[in-house]
Amino acid sequence: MATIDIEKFVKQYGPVRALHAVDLHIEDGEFVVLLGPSGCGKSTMLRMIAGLEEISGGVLRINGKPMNDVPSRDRDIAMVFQNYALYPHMTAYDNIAFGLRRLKVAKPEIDRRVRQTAELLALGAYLDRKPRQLSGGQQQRVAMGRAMIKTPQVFLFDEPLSNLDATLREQLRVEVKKLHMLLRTTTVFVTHDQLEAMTLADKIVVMRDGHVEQIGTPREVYYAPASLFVARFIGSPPMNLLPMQVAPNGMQLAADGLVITLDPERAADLHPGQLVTLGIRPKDLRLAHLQSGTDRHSATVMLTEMMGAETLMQVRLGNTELIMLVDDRDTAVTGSTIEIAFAPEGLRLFDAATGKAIASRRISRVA
Amino acid sequence: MKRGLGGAVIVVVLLFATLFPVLWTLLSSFKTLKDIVTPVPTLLFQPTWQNYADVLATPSVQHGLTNSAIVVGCSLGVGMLLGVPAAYALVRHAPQLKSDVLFYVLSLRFMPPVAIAIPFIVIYTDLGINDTRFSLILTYCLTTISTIIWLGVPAFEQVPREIEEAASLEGYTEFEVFRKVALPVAIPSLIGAILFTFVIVWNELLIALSLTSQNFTLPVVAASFTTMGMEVPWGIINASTILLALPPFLFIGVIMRFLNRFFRAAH
Ligand SMILES: Nc1ncnc2c1ncn2[C@@H]1O[C@H](COP(=O)(O)OP(=O)(O)OP(=O)(O)O)[C@@H](O)[C@H]1O
Ligand SMILES: [Mg+2]
Repeated sequence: MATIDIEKFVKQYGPVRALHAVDLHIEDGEFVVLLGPSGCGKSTMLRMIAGLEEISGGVLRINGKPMNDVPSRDRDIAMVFQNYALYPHMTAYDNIAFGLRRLKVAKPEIDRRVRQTAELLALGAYLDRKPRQLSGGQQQRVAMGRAMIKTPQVFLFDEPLSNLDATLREQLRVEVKKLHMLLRTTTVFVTHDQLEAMTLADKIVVMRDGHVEQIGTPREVYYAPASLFVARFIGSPPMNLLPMQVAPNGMQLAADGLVITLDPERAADLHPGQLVTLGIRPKDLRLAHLQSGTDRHSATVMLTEMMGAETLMQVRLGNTELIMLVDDRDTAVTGSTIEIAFAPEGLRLFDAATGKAIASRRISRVA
Repeated sequence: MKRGLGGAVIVVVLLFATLFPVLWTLLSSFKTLKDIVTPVPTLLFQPTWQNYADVLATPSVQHGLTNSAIVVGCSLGVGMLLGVPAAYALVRHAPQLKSDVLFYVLSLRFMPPVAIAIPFIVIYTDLGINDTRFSLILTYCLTTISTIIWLGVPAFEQVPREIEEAASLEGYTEFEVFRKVALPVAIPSLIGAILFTFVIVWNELLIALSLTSQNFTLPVVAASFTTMGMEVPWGIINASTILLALPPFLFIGVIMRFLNRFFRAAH
């Protein structure tokens, strides 16, 4: 059980700055996901917490105690490495048991726990094999087992599910979640899979180029992205983003042929002539007959994709293509013209120049 | 199929070219001098142990063998004890020094052995230890330590850094990480390094020739055979060559078994 405080973390690799003064507070028992594209500094951050990478600037505290100078072996942290890092000269069994042996746990107890963990990870048949005799997915599960068998203060996972097939991945995601609900160990989990982030996280940290772009619950980052980057990065199908300009009356947004009226409260944050990007989730583009009280727009259906209970429709509105997600029963045929409406509560505005959300504070209260 | 056959032919030819002299030496070591010097080489002959008996009965060979075993054993032991940890420390803790140190270590081997030997003779004479096993061990340690460092660095570089990090996160101290993770993973390459070093010092002639007159080693004895009297004792030369070449082979077997057992016991 541990709280983690990260203050102004800086990581400098020679001339390259991988982290720029990152701040993050992690509550005791919290499950935090670091999410971001490749190279944004997720692994670097994790390795600094683990004590494997020197902290170039800033302070790390665990349970309030400064940790910068504490060697990794004394931090009581278990970590799953991005490239597994299994001991090649030991069997899967010994790989998993290695940490417990250090703790001088009794042999029968080690055996019991190794077999239990192996069971959980469906590794029972492979315990006698060396890592090079295992597939990538099996190695990854051994690496998971090596971390999960212990009861450390902090779990660190660096993309532990990235090499598994869809079924196993989902299964292990559930196991990770269950394990966390059971043990309530403070966890930092790195991924670039947003679905994984959404389903696992208490708190998501969206990172970009060594900066924190947004910290929030899955709902907050999904419904109230703090920037265009987050808006683009999170959500599948992605949020529709339309470049628009605030009309002279200050109450409407316009872009060739498309006019959207804002409610007064929203409009108060804007000034006439301002260039903005309008964001709306595919789910918030509605068929007009299902959405009363807003402007209707005629759109042409370009493409439909059945995705199960819902259908993804690509529609053309003036010169812009939009994606909407409708109930499968409401699907229109390709080529037909439909009336659509923008659900007012789903409108998100971003300053076109800075890419930052406008009035995101108010929206996050809504969300 | 044709290609495979061609490859096999090349391999056989190469193997024959490489091994034939060795085989011929082995064969000759069992021949009497008469069989050796016949103009038409004989493959069928009455084998004799006489050459080996003669070689082993020679006091200088017995003396040289003992000296070689002690000198090579000690200098190799010291070389492993100091060189292996030094290579590891270079790789993990002073990577910025690595290329300089490696070059320095290699440069020790650029020098002609005699150029090293002469200053050593002066120093050892001053210290009163000239022409002793101890001074030879000391000199050979230069070779063993530097060669083991030089070959040990790439061996430890092959060990992925993450597995050592994983072990340190599991609470193991730096020394335990070295002994339980880095060393066992690097050991196959290290065995090669140690063998290579063994062969270098076992066969070393020039330094031993310059530094010793009483406490000579086996290569010095073998070299002296060629100048023994008027009649060249071919059989004895062949037998001593085989005897000289044997230890490296035995050594491979012994060291492999020892290291295997050592690391099986380690965890
Ligand atoms: N040893 C190093 N020397 C120099 N630059 C480095 C080093 N390690 C990482 N970097 C740089 O730091 C940045 C962050 O790297 P990091 O490995 O943390 O990314 P990541 O978010 O984990 O990416 P991925 O999803 O691909 O694993 C990258 O731009 C990378 O090039
Ligand atoms: Mg990474």
